[in-house]
Amino acid sequence: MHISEGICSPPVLAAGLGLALAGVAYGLRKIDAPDIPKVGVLSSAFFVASLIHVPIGPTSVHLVLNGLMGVLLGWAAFPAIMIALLLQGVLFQYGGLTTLGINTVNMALPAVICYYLFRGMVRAEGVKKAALAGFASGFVSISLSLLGVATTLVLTQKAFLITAKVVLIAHVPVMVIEGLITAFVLVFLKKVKPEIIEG
Amino acid sequence: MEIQRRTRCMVAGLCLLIVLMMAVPAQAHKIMVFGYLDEGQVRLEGYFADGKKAENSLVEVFGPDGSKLLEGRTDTQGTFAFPMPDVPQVRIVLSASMGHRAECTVEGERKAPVRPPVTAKPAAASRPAAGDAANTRAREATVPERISTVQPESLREDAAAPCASGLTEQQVRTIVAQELDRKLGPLRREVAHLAQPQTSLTDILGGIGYIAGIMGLIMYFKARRGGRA
Repeated sequence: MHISEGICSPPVLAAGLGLALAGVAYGLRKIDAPDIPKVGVLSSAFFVASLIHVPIGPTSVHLVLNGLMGVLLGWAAFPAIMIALLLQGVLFQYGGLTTLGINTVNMALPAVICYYLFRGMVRAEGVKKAALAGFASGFVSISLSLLGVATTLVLTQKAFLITAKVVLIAHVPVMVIEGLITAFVLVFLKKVKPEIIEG
Repeated sequence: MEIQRRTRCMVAGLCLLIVLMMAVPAQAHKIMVFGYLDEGQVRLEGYFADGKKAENSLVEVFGPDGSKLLEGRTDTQGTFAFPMPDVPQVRIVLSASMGHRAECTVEGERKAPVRPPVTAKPAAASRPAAGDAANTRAREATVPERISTVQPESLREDAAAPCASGLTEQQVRTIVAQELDRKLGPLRREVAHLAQPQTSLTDILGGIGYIAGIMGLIMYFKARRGGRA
């Protein structure tokens, strides 16, 4: 999911960085002081989540958790994800530093989209709706992220749409697992401390 | 209100701890490649950080001037081999799907510098002559760092003549060089493998610490600007 250094062309990297910084600026404005611990905890969870592997056929993929972040943080997912990606790049040499912009956009934009799509359902009464919304959020955010990565690679003429479709199908197990994890976490939070989901 | 905030943080922290415990045995997910020289062949291995081999991944080899020398694909074990080209150093780039990419360099054999020929001495004084010749060589040449297939000057003038066992000195040297290459191959592979950067719990905790610190900074600036308390 993380695009490595040296693959994308400079215009793509620059456009990605511009979009990411705009998103981060807006996200920072939207954070209220009481929400900051939540942002920090989810950013740490995202940071660590990439270490959890899901072996899929010939390759292995990792957890992303951007669906969870989107539903719980909204626009604050942008700074949370960018900070975590920066630290992953510096400490684990994972992803890249020039690719920070496009990786942030590819992971945070689906998070925000899922926020708008599912926040109503998550905040509604009852655990079942939260579970469904959680699953959908995890599923959809990963698919959008994969689409984003495929589009970025296509823009650099490194991949073709046919390959992108194949990759998308190959990642369906990941989407399911992410959906399940997001659903579990949301149900747990809703039962124990619903205030985390509000606001 | 304050108690609710605290328990909220604690619950979230508990979730994070569970995630952390699951993650500690694993490593950051990325593709890695290392290459080493083995009996004139460059061998490389590509794999993901969790140990999975990089099967059928694109390999591109570049010379020091940046020109592409050859390309190919890794096999089901994630390995690929090619004869070392006649350049001092090659750069290997491994690409897998979804934007994964890794690089490594392999240096060529460093051949020992050409030695000046040893002057002929009477055949009778073989041992003292060997000592003089060795000293001359030590002063003029450097010790080769890798076992080279180039035959060094022999210590004996009658080196072409077979010894008691029936082997000439040249043959013995060749045999020893080949055996050492064979033994050193796996060792070089291990060294190249170990030279890869590894992630550790220290890195994970450091990263989380950084996140906490940055969040604290954000909180400080928000409070200064008089945001909602």
